[in-house]
Amino acid sequence: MRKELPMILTVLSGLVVIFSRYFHYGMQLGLMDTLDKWYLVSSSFAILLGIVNLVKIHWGYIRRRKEGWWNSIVLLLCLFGYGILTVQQTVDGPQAAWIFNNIITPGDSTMFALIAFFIASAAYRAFRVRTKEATVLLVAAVIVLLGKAPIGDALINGWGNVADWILKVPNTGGFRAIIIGAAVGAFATGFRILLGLERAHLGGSGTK
Amino acid sequence: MGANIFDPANLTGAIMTLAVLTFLIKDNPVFDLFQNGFVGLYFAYSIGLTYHSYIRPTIVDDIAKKGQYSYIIPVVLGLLVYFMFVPSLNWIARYPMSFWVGYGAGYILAFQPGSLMPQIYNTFIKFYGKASFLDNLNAILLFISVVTALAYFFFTVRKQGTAVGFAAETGRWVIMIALGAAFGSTVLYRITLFVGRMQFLLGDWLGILK
Repeated sequence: MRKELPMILTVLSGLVVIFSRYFHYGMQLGLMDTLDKWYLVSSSFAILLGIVNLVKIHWGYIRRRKEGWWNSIVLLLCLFGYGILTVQQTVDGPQAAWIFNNIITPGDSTMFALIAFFIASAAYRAFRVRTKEATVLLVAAVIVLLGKAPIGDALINGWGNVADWILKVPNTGGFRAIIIGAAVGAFATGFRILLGLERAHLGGSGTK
Repeated sequence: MGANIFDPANLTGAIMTLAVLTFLIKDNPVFDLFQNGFVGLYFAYSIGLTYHSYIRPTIVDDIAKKGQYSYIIPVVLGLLVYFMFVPSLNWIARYPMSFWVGYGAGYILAFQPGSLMPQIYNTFIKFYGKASFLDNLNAILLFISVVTALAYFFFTVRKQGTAVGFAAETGRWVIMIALGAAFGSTVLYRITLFVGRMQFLLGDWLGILK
């Protein structure tokens, strides 16, 4: 009841998806559309789970007056204030969209821009390792970085073409292998789940 | 475009940008405050988006208005996850989790070959095309890159001096070049974003840049 039924549900829902994809009758039944919707609706409730956890943690910080607790007050105020606003008028509503465009978007892009500085210092540290692999990595990075910016071709004519070649051949080849490797891994994990060998989602050690 | 420093939209965007950039000096209370506010806003946005995209249309439109009562099942299934907070009944939360994991596993087995096969197919296909010498050479190099990088991933225990060992060693270099290129592209993207923020501050906000 506590582990067997959930396991049966796991296997059944997986088999229904496979049945809807590979069998003509399964396609005709249109079960995939129903299951897609079920998945989206049921998982959308899980977003509140993260919010419940966030509120629990930050409410604890405020109660215990942990260092920087006022930051938690700001977080909860923003969470509930903007949350109510977006639920009341949708995310495209006038005030909600204004906040998104003028607070969230600039903050978001500046946060990502900030990473440029830290990523550059990480590159410096990687180069200091002075292994052959680190050197190759950094040389490829510099060629692509300068080659895809106007400065590359301004420095050496044709630099952009070298960068394009790196992106088109070794980069595509390397990432294609990564994708194929990950897909084979996901495939194997999928099989293990449907065969009941992988049970991490039911708690415990996760493997049988 | 005439800049207006006190325009509420520009002013808020500029304050937000400058508050985040203060982190470049060092971690400070202003950055912490904006960071926390930012997390709150992002979560709140996801609440609104999820509510209006899935929860409300299902409960109000599908179930209440159209009478499609079968949708009560995913709603109840989704709500069962909150039993996680009841220690004596937290096993009930396994039901929605089981459905999601089973659906995900089935989805991978059913649909992943559709996206995986073109990757494999495109690694070989150019051999048969009437392409130029350079294109054919690139196709051969691409094929070698993929096969050697796969050898690097799959043959983790390998003997030196064997064909597999040589292929895996070559694959290691291919992966390094690929990761380097990805690293370079990421840095470039971040710098582009930084330039965009500077253009906003110095152009849209202060009007120094024309």
